Amino acid sequence: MKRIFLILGTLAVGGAAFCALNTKARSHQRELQQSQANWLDQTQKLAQVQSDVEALSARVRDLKNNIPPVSRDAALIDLLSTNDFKGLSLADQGRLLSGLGVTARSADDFVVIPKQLLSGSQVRAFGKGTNAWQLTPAARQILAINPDEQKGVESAFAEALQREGDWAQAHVQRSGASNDMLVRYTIPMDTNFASDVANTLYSSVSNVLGEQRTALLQRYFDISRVYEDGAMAVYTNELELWRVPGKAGLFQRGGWNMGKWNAMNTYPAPISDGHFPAAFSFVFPGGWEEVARREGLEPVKPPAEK
Amino acid sequence: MSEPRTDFELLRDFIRRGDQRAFAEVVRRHLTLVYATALRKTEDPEAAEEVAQNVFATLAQKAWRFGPDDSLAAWLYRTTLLEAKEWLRGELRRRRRDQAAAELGTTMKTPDEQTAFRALLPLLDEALLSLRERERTALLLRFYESQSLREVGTVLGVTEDTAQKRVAGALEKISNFFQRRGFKTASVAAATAAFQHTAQSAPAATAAKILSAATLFAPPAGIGLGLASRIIGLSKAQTIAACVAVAIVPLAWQWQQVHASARNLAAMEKSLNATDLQYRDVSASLEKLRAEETRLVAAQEAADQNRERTKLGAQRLETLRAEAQALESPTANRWQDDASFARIPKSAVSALHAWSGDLTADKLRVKVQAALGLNPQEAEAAMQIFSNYFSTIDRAMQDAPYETNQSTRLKLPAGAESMVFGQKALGPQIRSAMDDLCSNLETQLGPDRWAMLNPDRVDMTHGEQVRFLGYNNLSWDTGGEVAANIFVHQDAEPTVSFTGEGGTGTGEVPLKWFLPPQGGRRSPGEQYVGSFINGQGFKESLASRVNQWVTAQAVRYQKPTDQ
Repeated sequence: MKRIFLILGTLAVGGAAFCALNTKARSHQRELQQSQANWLDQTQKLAQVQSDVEALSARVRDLKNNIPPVSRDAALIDLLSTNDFKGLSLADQGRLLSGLGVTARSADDFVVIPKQLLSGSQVRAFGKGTNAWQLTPAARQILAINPDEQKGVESAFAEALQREGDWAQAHVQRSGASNDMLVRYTIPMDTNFASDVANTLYSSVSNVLGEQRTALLQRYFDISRVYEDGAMAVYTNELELWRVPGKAGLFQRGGWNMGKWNAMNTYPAPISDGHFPAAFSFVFPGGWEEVARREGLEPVKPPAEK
Repeated sequence: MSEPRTDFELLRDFIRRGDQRAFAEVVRRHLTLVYATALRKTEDPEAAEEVAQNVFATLAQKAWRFGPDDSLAAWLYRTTLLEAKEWLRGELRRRRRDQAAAELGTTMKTPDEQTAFRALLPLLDEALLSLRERERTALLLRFYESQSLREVGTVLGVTEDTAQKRVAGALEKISNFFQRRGFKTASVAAATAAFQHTAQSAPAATAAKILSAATLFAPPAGIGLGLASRIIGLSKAQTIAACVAVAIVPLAWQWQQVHASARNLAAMEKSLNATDLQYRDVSASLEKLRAEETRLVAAQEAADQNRERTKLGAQRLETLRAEAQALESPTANRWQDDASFARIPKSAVSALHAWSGDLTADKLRVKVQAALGLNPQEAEAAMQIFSNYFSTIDRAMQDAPYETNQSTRLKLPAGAESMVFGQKALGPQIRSAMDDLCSNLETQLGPDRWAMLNPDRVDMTHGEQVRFLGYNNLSWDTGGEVAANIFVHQDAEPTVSFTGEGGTGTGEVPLKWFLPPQGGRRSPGEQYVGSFINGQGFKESLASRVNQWVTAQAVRYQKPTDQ
């Protein structure tokens, strides 16, 4: 009997272990089946995606073949596709020139620049004083003015300056002393005369240089006149002689004066500074010395060398 | 000398090989036990013989059931009792009972033999059955099979001493059994005598007859009996080992199944992961291709839409290229109205004051780049140099203004509360910055293009820059100061005057001129001081600082009637 119990007990333990292992094996089998199902599903999806990739690769190849090749000048072409050159900013014009391979190192003795740069710049185009009609070498070089053109331009300017000088001498006004101010000379504004002179002048110049260079030359000349030489008849030009209490010598104020906007020094400055309003060069070619002499004042010391 | 074979071994040979001599040996060993027991129960030698034959016949049939640990003596004893009881139930039993009584009376020859043990004999088997099997077996072997204590111990698997104690203990229990049944005089000796008396060997003829009959017994036939006998013939340890062996096979198989399925599962998960990884890679590639497709489709559409514009741009570009190339010809030194470019000698570039006016880094960038034909990278590098220069100047200018109540440059009036407003001389700093600017630009642009820029022109540019930053006509090299002087009078309202460098200055004017008027207009004093400061060469920012201070003083000395 004991033996039977022993056998049954051993077999029961074995059976239980068998059942446990069997359960585990079944569990593994189920998981395996699930994994196999997942793997199969994933494999099918992979195959589908690979198929899609192949199809899309072919389409991308076709698209690349159909799209025209990008030009190495694409950026420049894009710049010019919506604007002509003149419509571009100076920066883009510079980029375009650089893109064309035109740089300051393209040639030893010259440089190619956008014309827009010239119209945004300033050049001392004419001499000063009695040489105010003579073109400077820089202006001749920048605007490519040949000797014949130079002759025509300078002739036109000389004629215009002569007209302005004659007009200034005829229209200059003198007013007497007031407090510390000894005398004031005024060349009045006359826009009609100024326009007439300008029209005549630039019409002549345009005949010689053409419109583009004439416009540039007018810009350079006008800026010089406004800031340095005075603009005859365009503004009112004034010149004053002063004495300052407690100080020796003559003092002056001068320049163009439009009331709120003026180019006159606020306080009288010593004549020895040397500045002489250019518009009055036509009236007093001798400068301060001639003014003093005409007014019967003491001689003026020559301007100090700077 | 080899050990005598055990009952189990003999029966095993009988079962497996049909060894009838082995079975006869078993019969010979236990014949006395069986016969004596049967005779005691039946009280008839013939019946005892018959019972003994039946018992051994039964043993032959059931021999396969015995294992090495089973007590054959105990089994034979029980079986004999059962057989005897069966015999006694029959008709023959009743018929012979009377005769037996008479014969029994004749057999009791002496009074001693009729002593107390004879009364115990009917209860002897009941007493034996009351013992535990191992005790019963010990008594049966000791008295009915006449085995020594050592042999008893061998059969029971114990030592000789233990066998002796077990026999003695069993006799003690038998004695107690008898006493409980009313035989107060029953002692161990009486019990021993009862066993000895009843351990009657079979007569030789009977024994020979039974042994002869035993040689005719055949082991039971049957397919399963051999296996059963083998199984039953195993020891406990062997049985456990056999069971484990039997159980281990399916367990091992199942274990292998578990491991195999686990391996398969791991391999499948590995494959799944690899497939998943590949799927992700391919999916990522697909996404990239889709993005590329979208880009290409858009590019194609744009190309289709812009085809005309692009064509126009390309035409314009070619025109410009031709113009530029024409200008690069040695004979092209003439102005061309229809060209977009101008060709100017490098020697004239420095006269082209492209960087005049309000200077900013952006303006410089555009003009310098265009004038010097810089590519974008060169322009960026050049502009970085300019930016560094301007930053240096800006920092210097931020530190330039100062205010103090003492001055070594101005002659301050006595008896006045003066405040000096000044701007430091920046000469060393600006010259150093300028040197760096020129050096860096020359390095960046190269000597040829640096010559086109003209260092003098850069210097002028710098001068203008300084002017726009706050040094109008004032020398940035020496700096300058102005002072505002407040005079407080005993019998008059406070006044203010301004002192400049070089002995310049203003007369005293009423301080109340600087009181802020209604409506946000400028006060007369503000205009007054503005003219003076401007005349000294300072920028408006300094005039504003001076005006603010004087206005504060005016408010401070303000009388109610001034409002």
